[in-house]
Amino acid sequence: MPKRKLDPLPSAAFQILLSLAGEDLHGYGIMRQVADQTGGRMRLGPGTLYSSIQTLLEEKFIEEVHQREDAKLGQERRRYYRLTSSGRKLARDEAERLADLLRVARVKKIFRGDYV
Amino acid sequence: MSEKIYLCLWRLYPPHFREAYRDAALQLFRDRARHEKGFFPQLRLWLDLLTDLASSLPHEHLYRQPALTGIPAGQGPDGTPAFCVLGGQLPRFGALFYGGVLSLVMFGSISAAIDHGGNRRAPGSVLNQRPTDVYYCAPAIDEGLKCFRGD
Repeated sequence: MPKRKLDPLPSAAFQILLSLAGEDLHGYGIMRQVADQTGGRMRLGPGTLYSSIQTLLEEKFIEEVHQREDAKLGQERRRYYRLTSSGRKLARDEAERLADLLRVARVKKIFRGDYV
Repeated sequence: MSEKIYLCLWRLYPPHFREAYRDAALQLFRDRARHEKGFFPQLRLWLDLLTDLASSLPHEHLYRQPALTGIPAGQGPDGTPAFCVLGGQLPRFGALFYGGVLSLVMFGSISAAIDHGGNRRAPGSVLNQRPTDVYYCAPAIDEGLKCFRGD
């Protein structure tokens, strides 16, 4: 059986799924949303962004919705992407896995005061 | 000018990916360049792009195959399904290399097996006996049947 491309889920793909959880976004919108939600630590470049988007589209975790303009960014028509129900489930599973890890980290007391 | 440089870099990606996302990537580049003005933001933009290129290029070239599934077969004028061949797509270098190595290994293995195993015969096989060997057997008084090889 061939290994699935998203098992384990790469960090960039997880961040893209999270960015689409609130609303449909185009490529630049996803990039900005990911930068916001990671405090600027992750700025997805076009190669990584569209490579991840292509994989997520192939696995049907996101879908492309009709092209439209973004009033804030000008007249150009842009491809918007939407999270599918299986994509939302994948993001939830990954978040639960990370939450379990966090619980273990708390039990092992590896955090300093602020995070407890 | 910077857009042209970025487009030249984008050409390093495999054709199927390059064509599918060229316009979107260029649009994203334009958006970032428009919003990140000044020397240091521009420097950071180019550093980001080069880092992104270095990390995503090997992935696209080594691990990704063009998606062939899900493409519906076209139809000819009379309604019969028509299929296209991938004439414009060259095999990947990695595939050619592994194919060549595998062919050499298989050829060498089969040659070695023929060289070493071709002259061996199973013990007791009639083929082990020389065809010129002739045995003469005659009944003996106290030893039953006695055989002699005649040369």
